[in-house]
Amino acid sequence: MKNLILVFVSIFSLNLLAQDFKINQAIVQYKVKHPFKTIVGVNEQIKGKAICEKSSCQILAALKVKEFTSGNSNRDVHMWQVMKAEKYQNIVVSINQDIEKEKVLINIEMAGIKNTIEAKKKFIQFSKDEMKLDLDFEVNLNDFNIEKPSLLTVAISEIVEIHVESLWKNTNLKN
Amino acid sequence: MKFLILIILMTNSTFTFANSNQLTLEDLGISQSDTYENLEAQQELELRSDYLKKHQTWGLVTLALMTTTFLFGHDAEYEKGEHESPNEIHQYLGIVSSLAYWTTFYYQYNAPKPKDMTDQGNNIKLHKALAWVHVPLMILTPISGLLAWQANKAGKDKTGLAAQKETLGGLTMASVGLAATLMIIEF
Repeated sequence: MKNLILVFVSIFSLNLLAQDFKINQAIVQYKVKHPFKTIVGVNEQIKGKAICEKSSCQILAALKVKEFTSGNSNRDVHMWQVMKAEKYQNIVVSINQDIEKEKVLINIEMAGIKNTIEAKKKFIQFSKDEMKLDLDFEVNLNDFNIEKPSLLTVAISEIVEIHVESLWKNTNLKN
Repeated sequence: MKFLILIILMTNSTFTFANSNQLTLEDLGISQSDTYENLEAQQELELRSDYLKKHQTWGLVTLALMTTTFLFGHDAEYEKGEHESPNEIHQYLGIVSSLAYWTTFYYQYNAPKPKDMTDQGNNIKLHKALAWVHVPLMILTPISGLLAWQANKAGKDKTGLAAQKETLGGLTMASVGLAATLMIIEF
């Protein structure tokens, strides 16, 4: 009988520790540098789920390549081409670690290639019902075998700066 | 005892062993049909990109040729008493410029446009709108050039469209130059 109670308490406490989060609001921004200008593209249609035990999280997020907008449709469509958007429609991002650790490793799958990138800057804030996670990292287009677009025969830099701001709601808590 | 087992079963149906499962795209509401590969549409994007790259390169070639044609314009006139015939470089450059211009036009006109593409961006809108200026000019300028050449050869004064040759040529070059410049300006 005592053992049964112990099992029950263990299961119950384990489940209480695990918190499920869902993206409530997020923005992913890329910055591309060209000798003539700097381009910023934005995507606010991000889907994401996280399961955390304290700050140890399993995070999965996905966003559609075609939902990025840079304010110029011709440029965006060219981006679809180099990112092979009709073949690989989503960019999938995952993190599996203690996100409060100094080194945060981000697994990215885009244009059909998977790579792991270390975040340059991060901001994490937990509260009872939400989690805020901001990340800055750089993507090297060569690592993903992505052709560098060019303007007036001059190619962009292969380093693309990525800035992520996300607000996650705890789905375990009921209103 | 039975009551306790019932509570455990209920607990398990309410709380899941979340961490024992790997999150998948299905958990985000993304189904298999959302990730299908549309190779035909990708090929269309490749073709569009290829055509627009050629449009860009030929556009720059056209602009360089137009500028050179313009610079040689002065030598194309008969200088009465000095030359038997004018320098023909201007004429040939004009013909080559015209061919380069229509090649540029061909690549833009035939670049396939994706169905889900919505026009966005003031610079690209103005770049496209300028075609309504330089396309008619590019028809009128060679005609005026031909008329001016015929008048020049016959030793007559240039009148009508032939008299507007320099203006038309200058406007064509300026509008094509502006269209190219707009591609590097964001507004």
